[in-house]
Amino acid sequence: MAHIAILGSSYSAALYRNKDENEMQKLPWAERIPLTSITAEFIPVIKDNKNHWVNLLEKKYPQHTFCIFAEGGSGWEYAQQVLHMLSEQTMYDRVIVELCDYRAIILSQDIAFKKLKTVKMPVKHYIPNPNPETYMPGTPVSYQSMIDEIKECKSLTTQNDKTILHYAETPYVFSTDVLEYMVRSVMSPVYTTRYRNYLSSLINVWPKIFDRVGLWAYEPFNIPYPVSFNANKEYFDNKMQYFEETAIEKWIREDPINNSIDSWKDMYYGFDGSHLNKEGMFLLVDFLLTQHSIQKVLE
Amino acid sequence: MAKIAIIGSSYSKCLYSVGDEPDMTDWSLKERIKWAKEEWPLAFILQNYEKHWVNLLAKKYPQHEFHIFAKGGAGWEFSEIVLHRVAELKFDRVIVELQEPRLMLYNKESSDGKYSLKEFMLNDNYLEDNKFRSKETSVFNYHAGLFEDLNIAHICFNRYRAVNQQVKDTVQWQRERNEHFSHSKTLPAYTDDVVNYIATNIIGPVYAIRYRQFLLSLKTVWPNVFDKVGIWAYIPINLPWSELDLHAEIFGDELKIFEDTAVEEWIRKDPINNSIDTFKSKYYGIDRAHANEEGMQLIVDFLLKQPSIQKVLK
Repeated sequence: MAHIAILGSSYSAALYRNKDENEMQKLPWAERIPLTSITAEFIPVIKDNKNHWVNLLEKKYPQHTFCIFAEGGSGWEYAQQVLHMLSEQTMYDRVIVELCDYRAIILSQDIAFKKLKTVKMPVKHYIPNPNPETYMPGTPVSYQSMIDEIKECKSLTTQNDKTILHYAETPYVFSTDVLEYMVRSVMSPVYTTRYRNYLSSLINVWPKIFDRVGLWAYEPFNIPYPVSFNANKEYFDNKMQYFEETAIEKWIREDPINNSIDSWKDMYYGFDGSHLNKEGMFLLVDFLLTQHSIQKVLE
Repeated sequence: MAKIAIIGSSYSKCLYSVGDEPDMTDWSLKERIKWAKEEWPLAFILQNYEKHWVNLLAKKYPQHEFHIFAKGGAGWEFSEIVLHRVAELKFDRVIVELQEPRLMLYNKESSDGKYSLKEFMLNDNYLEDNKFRSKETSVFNYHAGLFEDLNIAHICFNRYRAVNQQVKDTVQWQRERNEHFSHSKTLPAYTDDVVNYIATNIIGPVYAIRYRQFLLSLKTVWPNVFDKVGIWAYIPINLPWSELDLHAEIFGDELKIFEDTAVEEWIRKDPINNSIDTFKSKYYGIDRAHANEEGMQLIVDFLLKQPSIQKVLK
């Protein structure tokens, strides 16, 4: 029997559902409501743990206990901190780490590392409170596009606009020059080297701390600006498969004429048009069971 | 024979002195402090390797190779990057020097996303070109290539002044220094909003958690990666702006602070005449912060008494 910690982003945190999801599921995936625009007041999100892939795995491997430390919106920095926290607590002998797109913690709030909440299921959930704000560049970005994207998000329209951020412990001003410094830091070689070292540690460091380390990727995890660094090639010999790409490829191969990327997303994305629905969770379990390092963790 | 990586700040890099150093023999303490405060910031710094403590250790332990990856001004974030790299390079042992938490600052030219990550630090070229320091000892010196070229700056903190003021002053000092020595790349002038953002971040929980986890990793993570890990500190390592006592929590009595220990011993020898200031006048260079030639011998003596360092040198 092993204690397995699950690390990652929203793809590993829960199955996101909504009371009107059956209706929304009828819409093309791109017309569904993105989770990022949802607030609890408008469209409440239900976190379904029972039909989540971790619980499905737990049913197949009841000899192990699973504890979820994944957090929606988080990226590699958060996962790195959780790995350190787990190594300190020595409660978990194995870990499954999900790699996702490149993300950066841009604002620091409170991250508490001592809260474990047991839901009425064999899978435990870890609750951080509250979350740091994370920036997730979508497509390959430049310095200016990153600036523009965050500016839009923070409603900074002119050079002199300022927003006071009150939710940080010490409220502070968020202005264009702050934003420029922030982006400069995120795009600097120091920051990207830290990301590179995180990936390196999954191969060179953490397997010496935990009994088994399982790795998988929902989507490509390269740095989205041109830094001459191919993460998959450098650390995984280009052998790390991406769940979404693999699943879509298989879907199209099954019926090349009728199936497409969009039809796959229509079918397997949930009400928010970006996370898997209940059916998609089974695909994910099938994928994970074909991944060598995950098989080792589940042995 | 073991390959030992030396990781840390200026305290581990070399013996520093100043070009055209004034003769301070007859200077009063007040005059010396004034010079260190007013003249040193723009002084031309010289680096000596022969009399540095690593070279002295290498003479005592010729069976080992010592590879210096320390960098002046750098703190734990730089050390963490180096630890990952020397792990990839399959070093056997490391000696890590701790100091107060420091912050890296990025210069605009380093941040357009157009650089080769492989060239950033400890790239293959300069691993090949590393300088063999001395014919007598197996000490190698590494230059952090692009890291230096991009003029990435570091901020050191003390407990007596507001964090944002220290950020502001350090940026201003680095700009003046770069101007004085005609460095082509310099830090931008930061507005108060930016300085406050930097200060807010550094005193925030994410930074504190990362720093705590770095310290803890020296006990729980890196000893599983390297054959031996030696740890020492030149100056206190706690967060100056926090009540957290990370030193006590993580290391307890295992970790001794060189400066505290040496000063205590100095005062015990002659409690009436000896003081911190007289210690600095005798064992530190004219910057009153880094050990001079005599001070280097004190560091060696101190290191040889630290159990974790003894194990590395075996």
